Amino acid sequence: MSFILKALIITLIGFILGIILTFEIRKVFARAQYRLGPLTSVYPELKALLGSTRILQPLYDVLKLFYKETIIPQTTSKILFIISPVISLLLSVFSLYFVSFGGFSVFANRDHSLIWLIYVLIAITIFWLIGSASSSSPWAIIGTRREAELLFSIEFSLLISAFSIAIISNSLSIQEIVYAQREFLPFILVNPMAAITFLLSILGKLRLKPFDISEAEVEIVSGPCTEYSGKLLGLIYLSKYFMTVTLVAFFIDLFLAGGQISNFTLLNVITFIILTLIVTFILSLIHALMPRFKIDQAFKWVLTRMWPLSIISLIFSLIIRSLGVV
Amino acid sequence: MIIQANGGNIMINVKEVLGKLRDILSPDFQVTRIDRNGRHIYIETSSQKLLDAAKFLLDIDGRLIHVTASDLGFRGIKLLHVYSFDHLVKNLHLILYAILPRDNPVAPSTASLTYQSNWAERETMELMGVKFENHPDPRHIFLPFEWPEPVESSKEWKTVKLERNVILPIGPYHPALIEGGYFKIKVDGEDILDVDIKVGFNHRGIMRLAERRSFWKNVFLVSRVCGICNICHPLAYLNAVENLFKIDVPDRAKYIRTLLAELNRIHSHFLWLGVAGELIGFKTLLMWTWKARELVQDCVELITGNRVHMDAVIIGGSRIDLTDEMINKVREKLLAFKSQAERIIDIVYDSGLVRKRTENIGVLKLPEAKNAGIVGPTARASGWKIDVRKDSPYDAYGDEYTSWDVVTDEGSDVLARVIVRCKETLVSIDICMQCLDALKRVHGPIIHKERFEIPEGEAIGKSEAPRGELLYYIVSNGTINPHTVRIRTPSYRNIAALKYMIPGYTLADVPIIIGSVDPCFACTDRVIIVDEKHGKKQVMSYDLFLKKYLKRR
Repeated sequence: MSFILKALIITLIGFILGIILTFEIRKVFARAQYRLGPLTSVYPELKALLGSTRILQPLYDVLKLFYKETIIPQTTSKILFIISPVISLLLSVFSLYFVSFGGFSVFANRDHSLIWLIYVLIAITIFWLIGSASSSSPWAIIGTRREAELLFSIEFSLLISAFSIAIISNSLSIQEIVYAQREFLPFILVNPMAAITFLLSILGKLRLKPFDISEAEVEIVSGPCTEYSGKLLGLIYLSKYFMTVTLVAFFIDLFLAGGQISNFTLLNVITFIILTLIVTFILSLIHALMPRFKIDQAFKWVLTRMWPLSIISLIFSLIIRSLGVV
Repeated sequence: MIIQANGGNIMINVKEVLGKLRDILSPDFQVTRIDRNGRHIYIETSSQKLLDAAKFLLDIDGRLIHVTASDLGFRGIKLLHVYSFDHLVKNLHLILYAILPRDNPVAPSTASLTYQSNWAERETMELMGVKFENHPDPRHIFLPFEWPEPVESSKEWKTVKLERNVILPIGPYHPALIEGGYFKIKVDGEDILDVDIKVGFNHRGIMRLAERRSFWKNVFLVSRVCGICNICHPLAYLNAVENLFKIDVPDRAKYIRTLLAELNRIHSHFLWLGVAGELIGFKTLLMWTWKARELVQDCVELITGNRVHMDAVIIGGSRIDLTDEMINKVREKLLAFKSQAERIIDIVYDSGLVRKRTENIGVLKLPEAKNAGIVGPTARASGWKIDVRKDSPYDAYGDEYTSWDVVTDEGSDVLARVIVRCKETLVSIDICMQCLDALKRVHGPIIHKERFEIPEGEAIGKSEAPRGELLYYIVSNGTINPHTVRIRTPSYRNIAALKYMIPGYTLADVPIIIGSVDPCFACTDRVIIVDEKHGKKQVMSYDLFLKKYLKRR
């Protein structure tokens, strides 16, 4: 299969999966609160109006934004304000190519794909920050500051837990890490501490509760996105959908053997999709049942709980490696 | 000895207080009216002596619960200081007043003695034109700060140079505030340096409207002051009016009123708990509490026919009677609510993050609380045992009707306010149960049927709204319409006290601190022209505003 065709298919899978996972987060959040959320099957009397299902609700949200006027405040530095959502979207699509969708990927088999992926993931957040900081709204600036503080703390534990897996498998290629798990055991069983810190880091990266500090609407309106509207806001939404898929897929690749249970690619892809739904379910359940941290509390919590745990997982990995089990 | 320590409780001797007050105020001391078994004492004095009296009365732990004025026509303007001692002696209130000349109504300000009278005096300056000398902060409160002068004489947009400390506007329209209030917050990064509060975005002039309607219609008007505490406003109003008219309310009606007031308190506290949850990002708690609260709303609908505005009480009793069947259904629903409420309260208590977000936040210690004059659950959370239901009992709150205890907490922080309100919900359920039992036992009329005349006179009435002490001052001139109606709502006090709670904490704490006093801006209070954003102060002149507006049309 040619390189470009593969990339297109992965972009499409990532897009659809991103919408479904975002739908799932909203649905679980709603059901935990005795609400209905977006309907999976619309009531018969409303079908003519709403269509038979609202699973694609996150897509409609973005489409609606693309129909709206984009307001660019005078006080912004225009180039940065416009270009950073575009770059963060491009990067988030690019990040999809480094993860393995059940053995189906573009760059995952490259030698240093793990490092590449982590670089791209940080770059997405940084471009969100650049865009919001250039908007010169006080809300956005405080939101940016919070997001940056969270970035420093969360990224470290994400990095360490990813590298502790790399140490076990003795490889920096995501494809290799997945193969190592097929031959041995899913690494969630080998190093569960790394899995926990990684899952919690995803919450921070995706701005889910209790780490949705930069988007605390009762304090700072909508944080970094305050001045964004219309198409640019739609781009930020889209990049968030793609990033959800990448992070969840990253987790599955590192800890759940990338969903590869057999030699058939199609079966693996289906297993992979089921696993993404399960992982997202866990994330959205935490999202539903938690209040929000304050930024200082979040920083302290990450520093005192997640950093030590991730370092322990790193040491644990080194021990396993030195024993030569894998 | 004026203050006597009596078994841990500080008691004051009424006669000695009056004697000392006579010494201070003489020769301008005249007791003009004694009401409610000698517990409401109206004293006329001269305007200059009001300050001396304030010094003395605040010194013996009196609460200056309101400063207001009534227009007596050619006789002048009557300036009142309402002091409450009911937390020391049951029902004791001293109402000091002075008649000011109409052409030059000047009075000394007590706002430098106590923050309690700060807002009240600013309001009186605005509404009645009384000038207070040496007021520390003589700005407008309901009107825009610059009224009636244009802001600046220049016709251009003026830009003030950028400061290091950013000024963040919270409100009048902000996701954290359900209603319109303006908090000008000066921040350095996330830390708050100073806060300035402006209310008045929703001033509807209900006090004036009430003076043009009859006593009977006013019951339904005052319940429109606030949607959430809609039964407490009529109850405070009726407390004053029925006292003035010398009407005895039948026992059964008292129980019905108490039941409705407590149902109101339960749903208000649970509404608040949900909103407080949302303010710390716990949206799921909001949905859970509001779902549980529906059961209480169902009870209210079952009894009165309306979900929100009960409109169930009238002068002399209640409009609505409960049948035995209704009592059983209400009891059933309340028991169902209680089990749900206990579960939700357990979740709130046990959640580590809720505790983290609320503990040692928005601390207001007792001395500051007394100076700021906070009321209701906010005061009780600072360890101040004041509750109108216990201190000056009305309806069926007295010891001879129901037995219950005031909930207090020594924490003085947001968590203490959460705990006090959660416990109060459970106490309210208990009071409701007692009322339901009593309604099965006590039969009889639900309304005072004898004819009566409307006397001339004045009265104050209080009730404990879910947010705290609610005060009504009514003057009757013998006609069917009241001459004066003055309202002092609990949020009026609590929002003013936010000035002491917010500085020193971080921006993330602001919503929950504002939320923790359960602010009700509808109770407390128009459009401000000054717009401050990221340190630049853009001021628009009134002329330019008119010009722009006309051009656009």
